[in-house]
Amino acid sequence: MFIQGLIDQTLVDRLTPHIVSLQSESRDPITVFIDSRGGSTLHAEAIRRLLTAPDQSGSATCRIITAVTGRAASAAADLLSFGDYAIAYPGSSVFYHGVRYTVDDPLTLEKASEFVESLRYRNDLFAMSLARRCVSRFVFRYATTQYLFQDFRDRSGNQTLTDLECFEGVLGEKLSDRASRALRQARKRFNHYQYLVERVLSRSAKYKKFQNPKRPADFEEVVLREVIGAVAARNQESGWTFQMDGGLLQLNDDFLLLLEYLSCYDGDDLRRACSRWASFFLTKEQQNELKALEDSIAQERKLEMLKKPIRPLWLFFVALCHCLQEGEDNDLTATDAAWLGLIDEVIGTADPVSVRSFAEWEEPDPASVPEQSTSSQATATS
Amino acid sequence: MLPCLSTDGFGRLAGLALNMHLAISTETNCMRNSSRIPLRKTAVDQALDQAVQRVYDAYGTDLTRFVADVKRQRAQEACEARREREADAWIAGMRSKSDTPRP
Repeated sequence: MFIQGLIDQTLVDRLTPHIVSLQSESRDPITVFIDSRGGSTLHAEAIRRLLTAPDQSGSATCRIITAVTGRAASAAADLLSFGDYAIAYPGSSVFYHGVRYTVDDPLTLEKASEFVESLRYRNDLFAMSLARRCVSRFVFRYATTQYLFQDFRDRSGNQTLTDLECFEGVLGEKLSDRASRALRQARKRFNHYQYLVERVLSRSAKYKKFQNPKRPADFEEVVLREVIGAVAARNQESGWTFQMDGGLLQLNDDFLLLLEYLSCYDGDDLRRACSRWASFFLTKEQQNELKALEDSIAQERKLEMLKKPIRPLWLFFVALCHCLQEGEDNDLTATDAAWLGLIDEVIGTADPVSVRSFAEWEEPDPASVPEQSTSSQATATS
Repeated sequence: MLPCLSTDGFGRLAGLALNMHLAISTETNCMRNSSRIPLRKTAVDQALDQAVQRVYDAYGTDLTRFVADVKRQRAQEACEARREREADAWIAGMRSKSDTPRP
């Protein structure tokens, strides 16, 4: 089926009979071709809900393959990334941005405050939904590029770089300027998580209200107090004030950012990210240790081992998705979207590798595999 | 003394704060500690898990050779497809000539 033009009620009306008919015929995958500049998030959500509707027999939902043929912007970009397998045609583009409201009536202070709250809430919602949907792709990108990390350290002349920093470096070399900018913003947000965790939570931990809160507000009160201190410490100019220099806004942002970090720190999203690529994150010693354990204990131990390297990756990706959802300049090429884990494959390119190449992989016939020198030549020219 | 953050910046302290947050939060279901409930996996998920394991067993974590193999395979497929297309076109050309009705 095709999603073309504006995403609105007219499109939903046109697609609904088509989707219902495809789903009642069989539970085979449905391919959705997209060329749209977006539209209403409400109607995009309606299409998404229809596509993933169960049937009365309780059959599995249809797998959704999404493919951008020209442009997927705004709500259409969200639909693209939502696919179980997301593909981009070469030369296509993907554009993410924050939620927008168009206001017809005159704006009052009360109304403006409501809008700010609502926009922030919806941006967070979409960012988290994008992060949950795509994190497996991002972890895959990491797992399949980690063999390049040491080379990156050598080329940078800096052996102290962490794996995540190497990953950012490797990605940075593959991305367009715009996508690199989004990546840098994500790093800034990620560093701010760390700063807040280190400064605010370590100071909050000494208060009784933090240790034994009687109600949620007790915990928040202590954290807020320390966030005030953190904002004041960041703004050392003698004339700076909370009232006049945006201090209250910074306070609000920092507080919400800290809660964002805490809400993502653990849970099913992280577990899901850990599950598929386990082998690529465990050392031989860790794998041997797990083999010696009883199955149920081994599963829990394995999860603990995996969370350590994957948690920073997940939190970095959450930061990236927030940056994509907040900016207005996130026009990405198909290749950018693939490298950033927002889609799975760009048609006609072998770089970056796709999950499909794993699924279709077969043991190479030794007779057909060229010698080492020929192999590198083939790589260079392909 | 307070616990220190580990080198990756996500240490026990954040875990402690999280537990506090979990204990008092009644609104955020996404943070439930459900580590003992197994994740539900579809048949496709399981097939993909197996494929990933097969690749890992063959290549390990250093995917240099895997990436080279995939690129080589893709180039080979593209080359074969092109040859087939050219052969089809050539045969079609022959046929159209021989099928041309005689005057």
